[in-house]
Amino acid sequence: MTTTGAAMIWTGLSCMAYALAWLAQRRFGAHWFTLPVVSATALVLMVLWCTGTPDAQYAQATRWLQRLAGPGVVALAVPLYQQSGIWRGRYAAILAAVAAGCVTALVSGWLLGQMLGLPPALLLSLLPRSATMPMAMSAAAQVGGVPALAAAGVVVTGVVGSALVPPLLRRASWAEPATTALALGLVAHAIGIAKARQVVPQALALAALAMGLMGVLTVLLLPLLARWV
Amino acid sequence: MLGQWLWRWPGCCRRVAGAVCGALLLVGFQQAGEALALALAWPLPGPVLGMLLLWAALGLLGRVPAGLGLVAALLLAHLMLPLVPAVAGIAGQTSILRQHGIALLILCVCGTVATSLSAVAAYRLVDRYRA
Repeated sequence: MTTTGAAMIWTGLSCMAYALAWLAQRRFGAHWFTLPVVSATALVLMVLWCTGTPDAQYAQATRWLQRLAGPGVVALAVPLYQQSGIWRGRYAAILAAVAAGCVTALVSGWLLGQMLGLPPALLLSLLPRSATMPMAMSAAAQVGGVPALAAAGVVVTGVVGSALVPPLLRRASWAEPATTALALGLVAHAIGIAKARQVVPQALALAALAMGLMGVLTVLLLPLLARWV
Repeated sequence: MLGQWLWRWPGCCRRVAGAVCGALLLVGFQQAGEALALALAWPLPGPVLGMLLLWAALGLLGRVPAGLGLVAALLLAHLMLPLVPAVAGIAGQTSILRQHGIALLILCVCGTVATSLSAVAAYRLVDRYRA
């Protein structure tokens, strides 16, 4: 099969799996297993497994689809501009939340990793798991982690975070639109923002802001923590 | 029928042209962000810098161009689509998942609970002193 043909087939298949996942979410409501990234990926993995397609070939064929994520992040500038009223007078609170979240993410990851007895390379790769993927991969590489493992940690945290954060905040009765969006962007980066777009669209700008600040702070703090460890 | 179509045609054309310009604007700002990140040797990804640049540009312009708003709404509604291949890539890490999969999941779940609760607690604490 030619490269272009493979690219068209696998990209089309991913879009179809996404469309099915989107319909399923509308039909069955929002649960962690109807989150389009989870259900669509499960469908894609099933097809890959059934056809015996190597994972690397699929990644190569869907390069163009993955490139759409870049303009998607740039597009967040529109809600950032339109909803700029939402953080007026809340600068200190937002910065405090990001600082507390970043320190907790790094320290809790390190403590849990020690308790679970993870090998150092894996542990260092999992520490920047709440930053966006490119930032987490470069941050992990800087301190002696493995970029591919960092990517795996980012993906798992994104899925777990976007599934857990809204019900968790509801249980703690802290679930205002602002706090939910903030926590989703902070913990679960791009996947959390996609979730925030569904549950709290009026505060989407806060999720985008939290993702950006969290990424920057993680990149700055991780080398300090790694040197101290 | 034909007259009606001809009547609507210019408006439709303008919307499509606006959407194409909006898409080009997004790609252009991403490229600008990537160039800036490379030039300054910052550890920030290009798209995040592009987002900040476009945010500043919209602030200067004082409004969101209609075409850009259209494309941005479409992309934001389907942010999860380009993430599907990235998430599927985790299947390539089978040996690590088999060895440490449960530990990884425990770390991510407990870490997520601790991180989100401490962040929201800090937010509420500081926000209360404002009022």
